[in-house]
Amino acid sequence: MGRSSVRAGGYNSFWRQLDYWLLVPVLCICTIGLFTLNKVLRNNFPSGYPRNIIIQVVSVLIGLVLLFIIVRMGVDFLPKIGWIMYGVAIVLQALLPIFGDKDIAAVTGSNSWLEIPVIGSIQPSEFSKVALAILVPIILQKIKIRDYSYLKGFGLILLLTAPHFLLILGYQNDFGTALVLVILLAAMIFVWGIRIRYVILILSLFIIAFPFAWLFYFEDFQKIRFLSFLYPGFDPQASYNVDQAKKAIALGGLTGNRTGEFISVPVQESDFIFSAVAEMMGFVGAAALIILIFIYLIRGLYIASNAMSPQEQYMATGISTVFAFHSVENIGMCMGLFPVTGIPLPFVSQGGSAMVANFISLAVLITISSHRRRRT
Amino acid sequence: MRRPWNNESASRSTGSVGRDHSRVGTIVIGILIFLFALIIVVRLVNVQLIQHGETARAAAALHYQDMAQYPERGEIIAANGTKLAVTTYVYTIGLTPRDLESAISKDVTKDDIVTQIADILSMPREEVAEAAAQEDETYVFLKKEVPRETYEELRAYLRKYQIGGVSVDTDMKRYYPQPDLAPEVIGFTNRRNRNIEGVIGLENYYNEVLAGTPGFRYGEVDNYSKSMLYFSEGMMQQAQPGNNIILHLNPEIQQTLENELESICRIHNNTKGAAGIVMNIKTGAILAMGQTGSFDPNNPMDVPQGLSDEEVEDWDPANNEDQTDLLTSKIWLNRNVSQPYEPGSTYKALTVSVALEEKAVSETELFSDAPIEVEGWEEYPVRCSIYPANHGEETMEQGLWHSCNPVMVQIAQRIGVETYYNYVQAFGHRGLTGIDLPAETVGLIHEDPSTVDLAIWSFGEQSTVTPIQLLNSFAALGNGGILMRPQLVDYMTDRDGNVVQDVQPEVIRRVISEKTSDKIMSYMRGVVTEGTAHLAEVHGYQPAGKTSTSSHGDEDEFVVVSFCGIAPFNNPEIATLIILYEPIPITTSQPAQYVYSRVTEKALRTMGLKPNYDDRDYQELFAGRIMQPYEGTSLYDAQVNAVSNDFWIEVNEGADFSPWSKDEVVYQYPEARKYMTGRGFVYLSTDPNQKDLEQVEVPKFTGLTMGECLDLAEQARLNINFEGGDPRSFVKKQSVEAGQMVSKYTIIELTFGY
Repeated sequence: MGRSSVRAGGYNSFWRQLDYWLLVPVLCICTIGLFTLNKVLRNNFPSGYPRNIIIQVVSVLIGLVLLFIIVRMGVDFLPKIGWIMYGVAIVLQALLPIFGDKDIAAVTGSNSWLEIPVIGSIQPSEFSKVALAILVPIILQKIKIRDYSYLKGFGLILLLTAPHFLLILGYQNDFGTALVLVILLAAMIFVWGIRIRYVILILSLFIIAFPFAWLFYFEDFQKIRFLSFLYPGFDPQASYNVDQAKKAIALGGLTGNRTGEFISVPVQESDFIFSAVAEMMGFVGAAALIILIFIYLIRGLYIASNAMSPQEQYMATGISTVFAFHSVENIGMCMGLFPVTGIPLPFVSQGGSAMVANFISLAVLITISSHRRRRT
Repeated sequence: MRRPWNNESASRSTGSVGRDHSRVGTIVIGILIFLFALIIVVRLVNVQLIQHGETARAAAALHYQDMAQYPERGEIIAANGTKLAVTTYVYTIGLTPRDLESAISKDVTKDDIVTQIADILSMPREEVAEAAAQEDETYVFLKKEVPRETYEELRAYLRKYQIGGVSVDTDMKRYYPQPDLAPEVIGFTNRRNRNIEGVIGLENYYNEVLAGTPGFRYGEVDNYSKSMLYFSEGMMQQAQPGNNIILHLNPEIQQTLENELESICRIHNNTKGAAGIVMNIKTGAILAMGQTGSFDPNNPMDVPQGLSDEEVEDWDPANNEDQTDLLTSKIWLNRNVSQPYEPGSTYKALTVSVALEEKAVSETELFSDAPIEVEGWEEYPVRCSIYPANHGEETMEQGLWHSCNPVMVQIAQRIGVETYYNYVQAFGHRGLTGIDLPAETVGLIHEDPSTVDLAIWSFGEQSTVTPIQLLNSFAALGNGGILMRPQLVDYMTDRDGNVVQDVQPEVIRRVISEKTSDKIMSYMRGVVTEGTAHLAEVHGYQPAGKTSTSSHGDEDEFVVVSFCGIAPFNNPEIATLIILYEPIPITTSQPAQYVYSRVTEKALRTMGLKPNYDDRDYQELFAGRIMQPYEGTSLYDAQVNAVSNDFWIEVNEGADFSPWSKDEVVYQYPEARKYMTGRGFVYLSTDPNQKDLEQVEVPKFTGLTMGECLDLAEQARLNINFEGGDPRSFVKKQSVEAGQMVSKYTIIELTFGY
């Protein structure tokens, strides 16, 4: 494709810069998402309907606009985007104790929602992911080209990431997002090249830390979720969500549940959205969704492996891996393959801030992709 | 590890992109993603395509639900139409606190509503307020088993102000309007979930008839209350309400039986109780079946009477096995069908009837009443009850009149073990009578009887039968020898009163011939006229029967007295059995006879049979009885004496009946040594200040027959005494003019003549 586009016209054309292997699957996924979400919200949250679905559509549009702007700016502008995101994330999260949305906190047990007049509630930690996905690779590259010593480089990374971890784990109590950040960093460091003994060391640290975290950090509901995953039926209340989700998926059959009767699945608008897709559109829809996700993820990794610079490679890997982690965990959780965590499905689940952040991440990928192709 | 950055920086400087550096990482991640995608798709195929049908069915069960519809339980109705068991509705009240507000009036605050609801349901206000404060809950329970009136009041209030947020669930409840009437026969029910099931008595035996067929609705339900959605068109099967059962049981006879049993137990301070049955011998219909010490079928688990204070305090049968046992083995027990007893001398009538049927003994043959040694049981010679004052030489008939054990032993020995026990079986004493009641038991009768067993059973000792078994075989004696199946239920109707099943009388078998039946009836009539049962006489109805005073225990200290009789003699209609368990200190069957007489008369009159006085009745009634002197005796002795002389006593208010009472009779009316006839009312007072009796109007007796006078006098609560010549003539003169007012129980002299 790359070569044919070379022949077709100049790279200066904005539309030619766009990587359609990324954009088209994602837009298809968004369409599936909006279609499903529309039904779910209408059935489960009739009081907020249609305001809630309109917010979602608007988020997609905002995301698209931001995407075009970022792609237009080009690769040189990426660090700036990173710093802007970083600033936005830190400031908004710092505001949480004051302007946090107590209603959502009461329902979800997580303080990660910020109440903003007119717009509604947003989750600033979404922007932390984007910020770190852009900024950490820059430092990693500097270590690699020996601009920074190991000590300085990793010191800086620690300095950059620590506030987010502290805010997310310490105040917001959002284990899922913290896990995503860890995956993000791990993926980037893995591709950057880490000695196998360090991998073993870090893994052992995790294993050692786990019992302590179990005893001192995890909330009861998190422990129950984990135990329910290991031992189905450990807590009927905790398995209930998964059972219901599985029923919903099964009911989809080949082409979707046409009876008009839908299984009631808790948090189907975000965590269990995949069960809704599978129920509404059946195996055909669910398989299509998985294939679409697979296409853009592989494309993301392809971009990573063909990136022009190490930092672009790390960024692309990190972003793709986070998308992959989200998708795999979300779908796997719906089907009882993974323990239940509050991780939404990118471009599908309800959530305006996540949608915008995901589009910014996608924009970073496309920018890297277009950079690569311009240079080839 | 390789160090790519040297290479990297070099590449960068030369402008070539280092595509080979750490590609491994991205490829690994890519492969992982691919594997996950594969796993998920495989899983998806499994769940969505392979398990689809199974899960779809399970899911349908969530949306569609089979909702049972509970039918209304049929009623139990007595012969005269009195309803003995009916189904009513009770209500369970709950709140949806959020919606607790008036739709039309802002003036009605939530506080007002809470106060009103608490007031109507008679609950503490705080309790309702607490429930109403739980705004997050969709349902808060308030009160259950709310009766209809309260519910209607609540509904009226809610309607008036259009208040929402109060939910009402309806439940069926069994109600017994006449809880005193034969509760152990009617039984009671238990509610399991929402299903009413009969536990004992007719409720249990006819459970399927009464219960009806549950219906169901199969339709779409909502997720919260699981109630049917409005638009859902489900399958539906209407519940089939239960049928009513109409009994032969007559509440008037039943009430008389129970009252008489209670009062005789009170008079004789009998804590072991009494039981009795009245049965139509021609059809086997049970007209009354009662016992003392009943329970309340509306609250069967309540504390029974006669427990100590400590036991009352600890009463919790749901958690105490001993107390549950007490309820099931004693309080709820229907003694008449479930508790065998030694029938004693009543059994002699059966022995004699067998001898007559088998012609084992000549009617004129004389037997000695001297103590008789039974082979194999020599250490206890069988004696007559009045030994050593023997009756001497007697015919079989006289032996029955005087209830002589040695005579019976000789007769039975003539009949022989095998033949005798064949009849025992034929009378139904080896099996159930088949009465339509649950938990019927069989008495203990020797499987392989010896001559000793035969000798002892010939006068009704050592083996046992249930009261209904004995009564049923007596009924056969009066019914021309035909044994009927005892039946409580007459017919069954549907809800609209259409008869759906008529229960026909059921012949079990012929036991003795009609000739023998007539003969044994006249023998038993002799027991009343010539023998031991003069107190059982019912003037105008001429009962025939047999007394019994059986004793058991190591020193024969436990006495069971009973009387079983058939009346009227000339055209037998009913058989009645009265059993008094261990009345102390009475050792004669007189109290049982006395109760028999009253119950039988009531039963026959209720059935509409006119009294038919024979010569003997005229003679006895005309002769009258002498009023006994009671002034100066203790009230307890007075009442025992009055009962044995067949006087109907009334006692002043506040008098103490008990045997240890020191109350003395200081006044009686009519005074002692006056002649009177008929009922023989007497007023006894232990209080000199309570002498005045209410005034009654004297009716017109002149021109009436003796029987009419007796009835009229009883109605007017007056005593009468007959004078003059022919008792079959009419009253010519009455001592007090008709229309005058006199104290009740005043003796009116009636002079007969033409």
